Amino acid sequence: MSKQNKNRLWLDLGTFITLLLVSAPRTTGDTIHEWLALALGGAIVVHLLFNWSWIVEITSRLFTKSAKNSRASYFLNWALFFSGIMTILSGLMISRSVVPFFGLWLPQSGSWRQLHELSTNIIMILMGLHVALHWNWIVNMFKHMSVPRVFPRVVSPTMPIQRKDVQA
Amino acid sequence: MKTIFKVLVILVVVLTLGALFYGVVTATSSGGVAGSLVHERSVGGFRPGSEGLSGGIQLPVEMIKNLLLISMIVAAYLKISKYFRSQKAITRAGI
Repeated sequence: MSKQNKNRLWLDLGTFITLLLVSAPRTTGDTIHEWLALALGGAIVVHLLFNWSWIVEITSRLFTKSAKNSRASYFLNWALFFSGIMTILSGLMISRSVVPFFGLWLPQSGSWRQLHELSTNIIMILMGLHVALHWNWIVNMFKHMSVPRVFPRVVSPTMPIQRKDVQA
Repeated sequence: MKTIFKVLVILVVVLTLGALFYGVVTATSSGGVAGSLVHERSVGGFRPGSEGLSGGIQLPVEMIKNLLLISMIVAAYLKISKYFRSQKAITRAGI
């Protein structure tokens, strides 16, 4: 397992746990909810940077036959990104800690609250699909991590090798 | 340098989409609805019971609920995709 894959797995796991924490503002409280959500935004940017080559590759050949299998995942990821922006924007509009911390005042509107709740629900559904699409990768990564590394046995070229099918 | 460029691209996309959303939402909610909802916010802000309970450890119900929802979606997706894969294999084999 490459180091990059390992980093990717830990980042994704951290992001997922943070998302779950952010989705429970009654447990964490508003202040932690808002700051954690901002940190989550940063983690998503890093996630995108890690997968940049995939994004560029699929975008460049989106409507070709070779990208047929990745197309659904690509559009799902865009939908997830879209709803993520919606959630962060609506969250900022109803913010009670982050925005006032920067000395800003935003006009209050109830529609932002409704949008925030709606986009959060959409994110959860899309996140379920996102995890499902990458389930095999996640399972394989954990399998690789749990299996101890086996180093190949070094065979000396001078050592005679006994063939199993030839009787001595 | 390359990373900064990528981050800038992401930020530009986020800002563009955010501005678009902002424009659409403010344009559609500029009617009389907003006033009453602002009042609702000034009274209580968050829903009842959101922060009122002090002391004790609160069970993260929302978190568990969301985790369950995601798990159910993953399970359903894997089951459905497995079914379709097996159907495809049967069709290919010509059984």
